[in-house]
Amino acid sequence: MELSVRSDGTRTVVSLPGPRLDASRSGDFKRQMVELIDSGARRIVLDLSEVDFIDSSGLGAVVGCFKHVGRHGTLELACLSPAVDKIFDLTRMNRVFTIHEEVPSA
Amino acid sequence: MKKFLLHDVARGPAVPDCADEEIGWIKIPNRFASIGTAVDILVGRVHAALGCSVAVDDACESLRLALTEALNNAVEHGGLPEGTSAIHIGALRRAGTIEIRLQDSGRPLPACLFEQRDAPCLAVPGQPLEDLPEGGWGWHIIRSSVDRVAYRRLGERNYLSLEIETECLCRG
Repeated sequence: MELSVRSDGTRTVVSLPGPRLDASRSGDFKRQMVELIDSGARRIVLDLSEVDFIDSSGLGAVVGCFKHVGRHGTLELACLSPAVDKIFDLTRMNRVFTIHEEVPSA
Repeated sequence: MKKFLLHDVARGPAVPDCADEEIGWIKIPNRFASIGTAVDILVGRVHAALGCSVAVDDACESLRLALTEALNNAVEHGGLPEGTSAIHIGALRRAGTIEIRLQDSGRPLPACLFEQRDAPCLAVPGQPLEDLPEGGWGWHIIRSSVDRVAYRRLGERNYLSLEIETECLCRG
């Protein structure tokens, strides 16, 4: 999988290719995200509009990226499908992440 | 396909499966890369058997999630070398329910899974960032997504059953 990354000012919007973020793709996703964060991205919005399914492995990778950004930056989510929203709800991660219905304006 | 009687861990012995209508069986290699497509195919067949409605869409999404997590567990914790053996997944329909079955020859599921009543892997308010869980949700997701879960070890094989009730879907 190849992430689509665009920066506007100090913010970075990362779009995931669909249709799923699962155990076969989560490792590659996290590796690319960690590289992005280590290269200086601090305010990240993860656009999930192309993703219609995330399993616990994919969720774990997103949480891992959130922790890697740490308190020195932000990782927010946007455009969750109902199925993706459900797993964040089931694991209560919807209380941890800032989730936007659309990618917010810069 | 060999028939088997599952012990329903939540509600006592299950009903014998003589009235089952098979929707389909798929044999897949035990590797992560095979899971997504296999789940899509089987859940697609269930969806076709149930017909179109919003309630059916929701039920099939729940089955997709539970089945994916069960297969992830089988591949990750089964202890079998990647791709060397097969996992069988099937869907059956009987009056008022759809049942998804998994069979594999990996390690047995730990008994403590069935005694777990709370969900210690869930995030809690005020939890320090470094303590946020990055996994351990699989079994909680399975139990939250379906109406019944049953498991039995017979010989060297695991038999897992995930069941949803469909009567309310038919009315919808």
